[in-house]
Parts: sequence; C-alpha cells; structure tokens
Amino acid sequence: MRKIINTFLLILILMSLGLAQSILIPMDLSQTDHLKSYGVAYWTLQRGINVEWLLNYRGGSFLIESFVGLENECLIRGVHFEKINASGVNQIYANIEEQNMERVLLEKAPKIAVYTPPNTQPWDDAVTLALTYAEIEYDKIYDTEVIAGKLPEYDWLHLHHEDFTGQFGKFYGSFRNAPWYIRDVQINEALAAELGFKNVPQAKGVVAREIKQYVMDGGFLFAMCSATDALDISLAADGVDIVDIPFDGTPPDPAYRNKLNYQESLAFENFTLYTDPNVYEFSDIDIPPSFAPRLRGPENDYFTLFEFSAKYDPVPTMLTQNHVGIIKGFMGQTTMFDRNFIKPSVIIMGEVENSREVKYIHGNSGKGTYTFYGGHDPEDYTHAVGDPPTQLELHKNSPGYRLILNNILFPAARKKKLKT
Amino acid sequence: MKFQVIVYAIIILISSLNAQNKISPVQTLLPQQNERRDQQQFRTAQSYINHNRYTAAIPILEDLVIRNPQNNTYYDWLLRSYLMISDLNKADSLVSYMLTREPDDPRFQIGKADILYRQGMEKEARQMWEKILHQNATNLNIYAQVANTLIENRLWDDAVKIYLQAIETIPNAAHFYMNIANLYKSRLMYMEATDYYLKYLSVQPQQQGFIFNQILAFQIPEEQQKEFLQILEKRAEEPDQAVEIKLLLAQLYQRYRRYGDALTIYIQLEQVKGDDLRMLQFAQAAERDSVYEVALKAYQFIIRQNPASKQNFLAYQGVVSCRFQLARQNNEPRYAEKAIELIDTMSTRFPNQPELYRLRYLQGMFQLTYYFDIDGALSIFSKIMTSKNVPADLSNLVTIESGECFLLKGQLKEAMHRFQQVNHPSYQGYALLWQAQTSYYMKNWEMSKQLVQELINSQGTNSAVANDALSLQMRLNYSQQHEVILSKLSEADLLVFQQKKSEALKISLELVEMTTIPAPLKSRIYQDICQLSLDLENFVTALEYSKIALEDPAISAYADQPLFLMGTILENYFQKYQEAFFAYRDLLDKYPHSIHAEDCRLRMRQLREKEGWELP
Repeated sequence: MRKIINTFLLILILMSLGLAQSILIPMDLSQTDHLKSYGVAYWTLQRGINVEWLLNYRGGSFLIESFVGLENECLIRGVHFEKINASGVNQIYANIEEQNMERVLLEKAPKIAVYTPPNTQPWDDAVTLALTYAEIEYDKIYDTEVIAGKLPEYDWLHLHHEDFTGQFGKFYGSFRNAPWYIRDVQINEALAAELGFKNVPQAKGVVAREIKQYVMDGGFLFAMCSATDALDISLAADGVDIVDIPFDGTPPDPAYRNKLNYQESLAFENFTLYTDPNVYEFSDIDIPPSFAPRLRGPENDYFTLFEFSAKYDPVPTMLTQNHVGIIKGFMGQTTMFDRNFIKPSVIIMGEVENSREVKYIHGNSGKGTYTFYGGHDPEDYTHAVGDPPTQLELHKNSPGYRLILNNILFPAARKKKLKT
Repeated sequence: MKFQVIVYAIIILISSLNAQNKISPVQTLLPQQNERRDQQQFRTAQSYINHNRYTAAIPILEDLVIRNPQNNTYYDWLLRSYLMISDLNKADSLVSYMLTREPDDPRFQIGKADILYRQGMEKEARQMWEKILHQNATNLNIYAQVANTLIENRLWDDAVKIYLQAIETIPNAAHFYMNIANLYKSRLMYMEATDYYLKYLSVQPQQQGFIFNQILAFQIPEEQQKEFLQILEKRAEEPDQAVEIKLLLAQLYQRYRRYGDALTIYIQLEQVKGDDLRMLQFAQAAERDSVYEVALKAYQFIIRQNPASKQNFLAYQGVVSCRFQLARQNNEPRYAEKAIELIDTMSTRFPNQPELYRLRYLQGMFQLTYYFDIDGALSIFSKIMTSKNVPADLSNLVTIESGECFLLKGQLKEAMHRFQQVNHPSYQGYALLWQAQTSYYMKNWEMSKQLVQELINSQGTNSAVANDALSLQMRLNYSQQHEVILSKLSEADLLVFQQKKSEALKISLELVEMTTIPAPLKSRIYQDICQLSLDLENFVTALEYSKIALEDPAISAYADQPLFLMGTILENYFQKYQEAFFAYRDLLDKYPHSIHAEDCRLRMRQLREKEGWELP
C-alpha cells in the first residue's frame, strides 16, 4: 500500500514539475513596454522572489517562476509576457549554454537613492523620470544626508545634472539674473552655511569625497550628464580653489593647474579646466564642448554598444543589455567623454566608432563600481533649460533609457566569481 | 605698481608700433573715417562680448583704448572684459596707466579699488571707496558707480548703504530707491523690494503704473504668497500711502485669484476715489475666471454707484450673463428669472443698443438648454433674426441655433432652410455640417454625401467639425448596399438628438436583430443600446446587451468595445468590482492594442486599490 502511495506521490510531483509555469518577459522587439518590464522585475524582487536575467537572450529577457499576481501586474503595467512550461525553460537554458548568453540570478531589490536638490530646477532628470515611469521606488537625498553619512544605507546612488565643483552648474553666463538661478544659489549657499562650510565649492568638495568613499566601500554609483565630469573634477581638485569670484568671492588659485591630483578622480585624468565663469563648460573632458557648435544633427548622431562575452564579462554585459546595438545620441552639458582623458582601467561600453567620443563607461573603485553615461535625456536630443519633461509614455521602448535601467538591476545580481 | 605701469606702457608702445605697421592705410584716412572705423570695431567687440567671447573682444578693445585713451566707453568695456576673465594683472595695468594720465579721475580710482578688492585687499579697497565718496560727496554718478562695483563683487548690503547715503546727502537722489528695489528684486527679496518701490512711489506718484507692474511681475513661490500678502495687508492699515497700498493689494489679490478679497478692497477704494473703469475691468476678469458670484457683485456695485449713467450698459450685460451662469451652476432658476427681468428693463432703457440682442440670445439659450423649452427659445431667436441692427456674427449664430430648434421639433425642411441662410465665415463649417446631418435625417443620402465632401474641401480635415463630418461619411458609405438599415439608423440618430431615448432604443433593438447588418454598424448599434439603456437607468438591459454583443460572432473584431462597456457597467452601476476587473483583464489579454487598453490598466489599478477588496 505504502509503495502505491509513494508511486502516486512521485507521479504527482513529476506532473506538477511538468506543469510548473514560468513567465518570460522578452526584451526584444516583441516587448510592448521595455521600461516598465524593469519595474516588474524590481517589483518581483521586492516580494522576495528571485528573477533570472537572461543576458543576451531575446534582448536580455527576464524569467520568473509564476506566482499569484504576476500576470495581473504585467497586464496592468502593459508589459508583454509569455507563459513557458518547464520543458520550454529547459530549452531556453540549453540555448543559453550554447551561445554568447548567460543566466544571472537577481536576488534583492536594491535600495535606491537619487541625489537631487530640494528646490525644483527647470530641467528634468532622466533617471528620476525612468524610475517613476517604471514604478521603481527611490529616496531623494542631498548634501545634508550625504554629510550626515546616510549613503551606506543605499545600494545604488544616482547623480544627474549636478555640479560638485560649486559653480552652480556654470549657468552664470546665461542665467545669472534668472529667478531660478538666484534661488538655487541662495538655497545652496544657505545649505553650505548650515552644514558649517565657508562656501558652496567647499561643501560640494566634501560631498564629492563622501560619494567616492561610498563607492570605495562597495556602493554602486550611476552618474549622467554633468555629474560625471563635475564629480571627477571636484575629486581631483581637493583643497584647490578652481572657481572664480561669482561663486566663492575669490579668483581661482593661479597655480591650480599644477595642483590637480588625477589619482583622486574616478574615471578621468589629465584634463584641463575652464574656469571662466561665463563659459558653460567645466573642462575638456566633454566632447563636443558645450560652447562649440555640433556638426552632426540628431539624424546622424548615434553611438554603438560594445558586445561583451556574457559568460566571461557578465557585468558590462548586464549594463549593455538592449534590443538594439546602435542607439540615438543625445546632448547634455556633458554630452560625451573625450577618449584621451579616460583612465586606462575604465571599461568603454558605448562609443561613437572611429572617433574620440565615448558615451558610456564603467569602472571599479575599491569595493564598488561606477557607471558614467554622457548626455542629459536619451529621448530629447537637446534638452534645454525650461523645456518640459519628456513623456516616457511616448518612449516605452527607448534603448537609451534601457541603459539607465540596466544599472538599477545590476546591484541585485548575485555576486559570483568571474571567469576571467 | 610702477613696474606694472611700465609694463603696460611697453605693451602700448609695442602695440602702437604694430598698429602703425598693420593699419598704415588708416593713416591716410580722414578723422571722420577713423572715427567711423573705430565705431565699427567697437560694435564688433560688443558683439563678441554679448556672446561671452571676451578673449576675442579684448584685442579689439585694447587697440581702441590705445588709439583713443580719452574715450571712457572703450576703457569701461576693456576693464570689464579683463575682469570677466579674471585677468587682474592686465586690468591693474590698464587702470594704473589711466591713473598716470588722469590721477584725480574718480572713474579710474573706483576701478583701482575694485581690482584691490578682487586681489584680496578688502580693507584697502574699502578705504579707497570711502575716500572717493568723501571727495565727491555731491556727485550722484560716483555713488552709482561705487554701488555698481560693490554689486559686481556680491557686496549687496554695502551697495544698499551707499544708495541710502546718497539719498540722505543729495536732494534729488530719490531714484536710488528704485535701484535698491531692483537690487532686492534681483535677489528675490520681494518684501524688501516692495518697500523700496513704495518709497520711490511716494516721491514719484506719477510712476504708479510702472511701479505696480514691477511688483505684480514678482514670481513669488506659491507657499510664500500668503505671507507676502499678510505683510502688505498690515501696511495697508497704516495711514501713509494707504490708498496706493490698498490698490496694489487688490491687484495682487486679483493676480492670485483671491477675487473676493480683491472686491472688498476695490469697494473700499471706490468710496474714497471712484473709478468705474477699474471696477468694470475687475468684474470682467472675475467673470472670465468663472467667479460669477464676485463678478455679479462687482457689476451690481457699478450700477448702484452711478445708476443714471448710460455707460453702465456693460455692467448690466455682465449682470445678466453672470445670473444665467449662476442659474446653471447652482441649478437655481431664480437667477435666470431675474436676468430676464433685467433684460426687459434694459430693452426699454437702451432701445437701440445692438449688443442687447446678445443678452436675448443668452436668454434663448437658457430657455433651450435649461428648460428644454424649444418654442420659447425659437420665439426669442426669431425675434432677434427679424430685428434690425443685429451684429452679423450674432445673427448667423442665432440662425444656426434656430435651425437646431427646428430639428428638435422634427421640422427638417425648416431646419435645412435656416442652415442654408448662414453666410458668416466663422459659422460656415458648422452650417455645412448641420445641412449634411439634416439631409441624412431626411434620408437624402446623395445630398448629404455632397455636403460632407463640400465641408471637407472647404474647411479641411483639421477643422473643428471634421471628425463629425468623417463619422457621418462613414455611415453614408452604406447607403447603397444597406439602405434599409441606414434609413432606420438615421431615424434612431434623429430621435437621440431629440432626446427621445426610449423610442431610439426601440429602433436600435429592432435594428440589431436584423441580419446582413455590417459589422461596424452593428458594433455601434450595440454601443448605442447600452448607452441609451444606461441613460434610461435600465442597467440590466445595458449589461445584458454588452454580454450579447460580446458573444456575437459577427462583431468579434470589435469585441473590445462591449468588453470595455461591460467592465464599466459592472464597475459603476453594479459595483461588481471583481467581475469588472476580470472584464478589463480579459480585454488586455485578448486585445492588447485596443484603444481602451490604457483605460483598462488605469481602472484595474484603481480597482485593486479599493478598500476591503482583495486582488483576484
């Protein structure tokens, strides 16, 4: 009798295994909303359920063991999904084994912080837009929280159009009489004083070093637009006055060029600064410079993603998952990075081929990593001050925005020994 | 110091030698030609500076200063350019050179102090500024120049002190109040700016309009507006400048849409200093913003203040239109009755006023839309149409409305006749649409088609009536193969227009039973049945027909429509949220690209957030 029951149970188990369903969220051209797909993956992780990220499989798809509510969530968010049974899953795995693909297990929803000032600024932030659209939760932090040592509470930190040199975004030339600029200066000066600093450049220098320490201690940093080069400039200029009278009341140190310490910066070296307050540019890292006209128009401006070996280089592979290999370019205060000033240890993930222009880079520092992405808004070629925010409902399949969201899931990945 | 002067002198010498070599042809030019050439060069330098290209402007300005050392404009622009790019050494050399030429000129002394400050010698700089002011204690320009230098160095409070010192010392320096106000405004310190604008106003009362515009243009953040107004309210209680501050306060209230508060102040001001036009403009602004209660009070106040004035026509007009609006807003016909009484009074008082007909038109529209009194409305419209001196646009508008009245009464020929009379360009599109629609109701398909085509040709597909025209054209396309069906459909459509919903529903129910009905029409008829049933509060029929439609294989390609309707009925009329949720989900599963998909997602989100209801 017992034997019969055991056989019956075994059959039941085998049957249930055969019927067990998984949900595949394909990320190739069949996907109706790529951006919200990341949100569904994040939402699943928040419920303590693992997600498998199938690198290079149909544009970097997500595979999730089916659970109550998942299908509804996909439908509500407008995310296309496919139901796959166990044998279908095995076929996918076999396919992955044979090709330049890899399975990465995502285990924990990363806690996200976005560094953003308390006052509203007349431009939007692509990451905040992407997170909000994808329905991924995040906290807003600023100098007070950074100085108070709150950064280690987060797995992922985002910086966007920020100025860590304390020159108020170098908007002085064009916007010094604009109410938003004056208010921005007042708020930052008051905040610097409240935090016990003599001026804003000094406060921002300390904030930049705190951010670097966060990375060194194992944090994941993602920066876009001017936050990339401004952060590195601030780190290299530790203790050196590089700002002019309008920002701190004193001219720059005449010998500042010789005092820059490039070993302190994360990604860039040997760059030259523009200290003229009227020039809307921080340094020659940015290419093309913001003050010079661009020769290519939006129709001819593209950058290419580098294809990495998924099994040997899973990290850059994760960060470059996309349904297309060539992506529309977009400008910003820092549009791209000049290859000549990028440190040799940095991985180049996106570039304009046969040029000095690099769009997307990644590197390690201490126990953590950083990713820099040039440009301001992937779906607004020239997002100017005062322009309305981009409506992501109209760009559900944006490859440029996907790169941002790859970074958000990256800290969720289970760390495993690299094969290289 | 001496060294710097020598260096600059050498630069000048070399430059002038170069200049002699480079511009030798100039030597042969006449002085006027030289001057013209300098002015051209200066404009080029200014253009560079306007584009923040100081380094390109500097060589040109240096050349100009060398050849025209007596020209202070060239000197000012060159010094400013040096300072903008923080080339303090060259700036110092320039000023020192000028001082060797004119040691007592305060302009150069001020420049020297500026450079000292920028070089970190604050104490010396301040002493020098004080000395300059002491030596030129009655010179307004010097105060202004020193203050400007202080502002450039972010020493705003010091600049204010200098302006105040000038106001105290020199009798006609009151315009510095304006400078102080502008300085505070640029620092977004609006209360301080207002104080000084009002001080300026006290000495220059003729500038009231300009000053008020400056204050009204403040971009005060919403959260600070209340505090700003409270401070002004306290000031308004003080006897000094009470009238001006009150007027300003009223305009600020109006700007921040606090119409009730604004009216209280305007009434107070009227008692002190009457201004009908001001009150009228306020009332019209309130009416435009749909604050009818306040607008009505303002109009009535104008009439009460000066009942005999013939200029009060606009106020009466405002009273009438506000009363009609209030009647609709509050569902209170009493307001409309009073409005009609007033129109009658006005008719005897202003018998030849053509604008009076607009009020009659409002009365007619009220009769029609509020009471559904078609004959009453038609009688008013007919009177307007037969009157003389009616403005052309109004006459055409009234003709269209009367045509609609005839349609409502079922007198199609009369309606058509009215629509054909319209000739005003603004209403031609509407008139053509109504003619096409009337021909459709008359079952004159060819005529209707021609009119739709004429409408699209003359008005384009972007006009306001294009969508309705194209929708009618879609139905007319079935006129040859499905004439019987179209005929019934036009009857049902007319009944819907005439608000005879039960009869329309009856025809629709007959229609849907017919075989050979084209799928797009059948889908629309199902939709009409559901909608008419809902309008008649027959929710069960509505739900039943949404289910029948869903199961009808003939319209399976259009089944997202009944599915969405079914979800809506279940959710809104039966409160069966789970079933509604599944209807929406079904739609997303089967028709992910339906035009209702986004709405379904939104409703599913709302449904699962409903309290006490578990997600299925």
